[in-house]
Amino acid sequence: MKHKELIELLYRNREQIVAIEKGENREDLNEELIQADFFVKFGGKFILNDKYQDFVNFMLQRVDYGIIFGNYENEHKELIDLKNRFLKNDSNQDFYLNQILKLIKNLFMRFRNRDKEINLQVEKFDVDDRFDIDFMIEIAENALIKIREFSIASGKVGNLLRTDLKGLNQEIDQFLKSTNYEISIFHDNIHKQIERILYFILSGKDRIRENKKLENISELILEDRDSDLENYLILKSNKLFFTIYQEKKLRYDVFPKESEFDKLSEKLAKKLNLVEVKLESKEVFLEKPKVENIKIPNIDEVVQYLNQNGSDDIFTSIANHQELENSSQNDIFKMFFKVVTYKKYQKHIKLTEQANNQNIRIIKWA
Amino acid sequence: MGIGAKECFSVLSSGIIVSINSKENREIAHFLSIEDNFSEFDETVSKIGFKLFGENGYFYMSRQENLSGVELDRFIDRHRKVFQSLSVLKKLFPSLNQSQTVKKSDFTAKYKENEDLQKMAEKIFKESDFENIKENIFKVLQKGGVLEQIANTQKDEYQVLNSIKYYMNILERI
Repeated sequence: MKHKELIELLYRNREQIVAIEKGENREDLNEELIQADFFVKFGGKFILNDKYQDFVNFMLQRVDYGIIFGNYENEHKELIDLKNRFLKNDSNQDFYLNQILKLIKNLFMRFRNRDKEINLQVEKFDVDDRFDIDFMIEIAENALIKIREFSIASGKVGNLLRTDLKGLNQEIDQFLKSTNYEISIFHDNIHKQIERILYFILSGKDRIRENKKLENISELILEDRDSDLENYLILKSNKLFFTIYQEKKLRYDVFPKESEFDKLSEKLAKKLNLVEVKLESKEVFLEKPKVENIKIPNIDEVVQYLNQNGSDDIFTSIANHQELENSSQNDIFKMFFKVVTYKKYQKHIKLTEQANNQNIRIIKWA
Repeated sequence: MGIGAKECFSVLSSGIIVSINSKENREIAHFLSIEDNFSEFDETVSKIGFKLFGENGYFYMSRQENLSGVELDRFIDRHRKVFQSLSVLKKLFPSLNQSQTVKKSDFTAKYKENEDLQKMAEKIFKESDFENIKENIFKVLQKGGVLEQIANTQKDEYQVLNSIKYYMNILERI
């Protein structure tokens, strides 16, 4: 089969190929493709041959995290072996020369493809949001180990191409000269990608820490326990973002003018009807206040009695006097106090040292 | 139209952080990125009580005089709201960082899968209606200068601006 015929075969069976790539279980597959190991039976169903899948992934710039970079150990050994055979064998030098050139070309292509794959993989780290950051960091750390190993291996092969094969043959020299520059770029790129992965890992770890802090502060704000944040903002308010937004539309209230009141009254008068309100009359009965005859004891009556009868205990005589009949103890005492303290009666007042049965000092009227 | 100090002041004085990766305020950011423009603008605004800051790919003005009690409350409240909204957004998009984009439709899909977050967001925004919560978060983050709507994406896609670092720096310092 020619290459063109293969392309046509693939084109004719494109729907089957896409279906198998999507993981569909199909049995009605083209026998020719099965015979050519294009479709391979694995675990009871057909899948695409890895070789073709790699080609598709490469062409469509897809990259898998499970990529194996390889260490070129076999190619390295093979090149040294071919070089020794080339130098020893004068009669078949052309054969070995072709083999060496083929292997160098193969290595160059592999360098080129790996460069592209690594680049795609590193770019994928930045945009892939299917997984948690922790898991992405784990994948990146794993990729970093593999890329570092690959970097050492490609350095070793690069060194072989630049030094060990130099001067072996003019055609080889010419070929190496034309590829040297690109190989050195691939090598530089690997270092740049290693730096990018390192940056991804470090910034990923930073993001984990930041996210944790954000979660904490959000909880503290919710629980009204964010005094640290509040104090910081107050302290630094003249160094932080000026957040007092200016409103585009300003709204303010003013007092209405007198003329506006008049207009309002007119409008209200038109809308509202005056309602006549009848006042209901109520009869209220006023109760006349009760008249109380309050008898005020007359001191002259009391003094006249004392003058006529004298007294061995003025308080007891006043208490028994008819003027103070039904009077309270307090009123009796007030009268007693008046009698004994009035200046004009002092000549009749005789103080004693004794007290009567109500524990009041006995004062005599003489 | 050329960008000058007048245009810069008009934007910065309205309480906006201008990020270099902003499409909307790109010209202002570029104007202020020139050292002479920066110094001259800072000198001018300092005469009326402002100070210009430029760090980590964003610019903002601060007011030098003390804020009144009401202004201080609003200032703190706006920061709090941004932190809380950012916390919800980062729960759904943990890797999200400056210059990356986020779609409202993806936010909706991821939010509906996360019941714990739904409970937390309902508490934060005192709201149970998802659409209101979503609009609130995007509005707060847009006003806070963290997100910018990408034109021609049917209001679905937003870019994370450099100013996200401003908020993260505050968290680093407390």
